[in-house]
Amino acid sequence: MTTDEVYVSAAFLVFLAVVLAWLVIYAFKMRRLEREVEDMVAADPEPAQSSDVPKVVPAGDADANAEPASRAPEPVS
Amino acid sequence: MSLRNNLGPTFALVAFTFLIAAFALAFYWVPTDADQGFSQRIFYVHVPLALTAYACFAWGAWKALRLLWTNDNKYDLESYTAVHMGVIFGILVLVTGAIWARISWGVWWSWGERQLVLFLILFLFYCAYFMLRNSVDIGPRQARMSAVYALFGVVLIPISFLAIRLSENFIHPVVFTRDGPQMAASMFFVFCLSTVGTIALATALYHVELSGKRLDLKLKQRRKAYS
Repeated sequence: MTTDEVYVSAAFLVFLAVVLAWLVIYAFKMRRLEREVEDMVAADPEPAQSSDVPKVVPAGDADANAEPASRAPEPVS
Repeated sequence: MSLRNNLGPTFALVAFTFLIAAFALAFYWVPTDADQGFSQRIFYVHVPLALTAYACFAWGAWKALRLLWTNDNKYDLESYTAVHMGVIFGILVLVTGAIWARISWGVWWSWGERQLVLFLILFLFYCAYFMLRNSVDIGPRQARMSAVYALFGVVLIPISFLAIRLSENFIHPVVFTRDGPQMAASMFFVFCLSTVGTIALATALYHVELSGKRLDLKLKQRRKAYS
């Protein structure tokens, strides 16, 4: 290889090396985040009830003041 | 699954394809430059990296402006990540530029070249962004201060870009003039491939890093809420 070829190859390799280094660093960071999520789940195994999802209430326990559930129209005979 | 949710992998695939093609063509297909010889091939990595670094800083400034305009803190992480990507690509510009300078001019660095010095100032300015950011407590104040700083830095981009045209020393070559690109069509084609590939790579890394930072922030908030 000539000197020019060595320098040009070095420039391209530096580019690849930095991208690879970034990937390695980020893989470690993602692994750490994954561990933290696992620790959090282990500490609090109960899934949090989302406020968007309505609670399922058995028909017999339904509050009298609650809004009546919409019912499908009965077929007209 | 929508394309929006898969931006990272999509851009990574585009980057991989374009960069492999561009580098292979740069080494084995494009004609050797009559003036600089084989060393001119660094152009296909150095200039796209510089353009990508400018784009990242500009994107960071745009997100900073959105933050100041809307007061929505979600733009803070986006601006921060873009500046971080700009600094990474800035390091690559400086290293590949130094290698090119060593072959062409016989020196690793020339303080007399305004283009180089202005890019170094731009790079150091954005390095100081992290010092400022980390010296302020996390919160809206940190977000606003970082946004103002990122916005100021964008002024340096056109100055750095135009410096080469205003320069009197003129060691640094001028390829893009008012008459268009001063190179063969095949060279310009490979340059475009490499530029698209590098910008796609930066976009892919930006999305991955942004997802990581968002997750990190959510975990911190949750931990704070528990403690």
